[in-house]
Amino acid sequence: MVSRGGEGTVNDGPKGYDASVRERLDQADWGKALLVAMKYARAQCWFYNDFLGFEVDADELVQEAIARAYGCGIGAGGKRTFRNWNLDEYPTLEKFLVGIIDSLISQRTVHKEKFPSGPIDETDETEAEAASASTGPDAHALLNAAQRRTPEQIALLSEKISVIREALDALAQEDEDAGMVVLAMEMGEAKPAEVAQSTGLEIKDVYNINKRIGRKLRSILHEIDSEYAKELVS
Amino acid sequence: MSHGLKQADIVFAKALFDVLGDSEGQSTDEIRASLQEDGVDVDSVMERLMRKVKECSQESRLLQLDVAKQRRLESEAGRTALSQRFNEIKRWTMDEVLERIRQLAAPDELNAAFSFRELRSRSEGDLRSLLEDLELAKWKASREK
Repeated sequence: MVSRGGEGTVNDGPKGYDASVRERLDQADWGKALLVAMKYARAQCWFYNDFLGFEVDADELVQEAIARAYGCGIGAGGKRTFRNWNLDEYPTLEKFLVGIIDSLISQRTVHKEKFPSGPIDETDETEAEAASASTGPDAHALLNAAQRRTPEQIALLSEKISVIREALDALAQEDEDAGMVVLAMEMGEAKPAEVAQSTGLEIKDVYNINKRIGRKLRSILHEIDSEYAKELVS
Repeated sequence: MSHGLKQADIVFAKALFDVLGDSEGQSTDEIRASLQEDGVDVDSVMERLMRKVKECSQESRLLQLDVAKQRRLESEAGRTALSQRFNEIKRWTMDEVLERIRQLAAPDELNAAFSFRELRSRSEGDLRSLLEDLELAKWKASREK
């Protein structure tokens, strides 16, 4: 079993880092992997910052994911942190980077609030990553984080969700398959494989519907944000 | 829930953003286009990230060399210390040899199971040789930590 993560002091380097991972990373195709990681990090930051009020930076997350993959990340207290690339768990570089980004977001947001000195303390990276990867931030923790925002922010958040729902309902009316995918999302399913399984759709159809949902969602969010910005100015 | 916000709303929103950030089944051009739609200067971001990849690769190599160098130094220092200890053992009295064997073979140390009474009946050469084996085992165990 390849270790999930670990640490060392800045001076002695990351003990436990598998040097063969570096060779594999050097030979990997970073072009698509970085685009995938950046797109994923931006969407997650959009949610965590805009909806929940955290301050996480997509660019910084991707850079730290690269550093941890190479065994030269810096964790709490200046300790070296790393993630060894387990191919069984992450068959591609894209998935590996997204996995690291998930852990980082988890550590810096909801889990950090939930366990201020517990398993998400970065001084024990291995335990923290195992915890965050196995459970992820649960819905209750996310709701608690959202409800700590000001009443005005919560009202705006409710309004945004309601506008998004209306738009996606309209999409569902036009297309029955899209309706099934939206319903799966209502149940919290986001992974195309999960959605395909629960809806009985072909995975390539789920990909195509997701693209349409993504385009729709992106335009709604930009519209809401620009209207909100106008209101703030006026 | 207070303020009209429900857990189901957050679960739905999280799933939506997961879909928004998902690239499965998309080509490089499609991913690039969606980032550009969000106002990202993709070329500049990619240039910065590729530079980070290169820097991390180099830093990782240097760290690995440092780790190897430190291990080599520790190993050399350990060998020297062990050799000095063997020379000392040659000069020790039998009581000193037995005392050190007791220390090293205590359950908390190396968990060796043998009777101390029987030790006294062994020859001096056997005991010194046994102690050297124990010192060597201790040194090897400390290197593996």
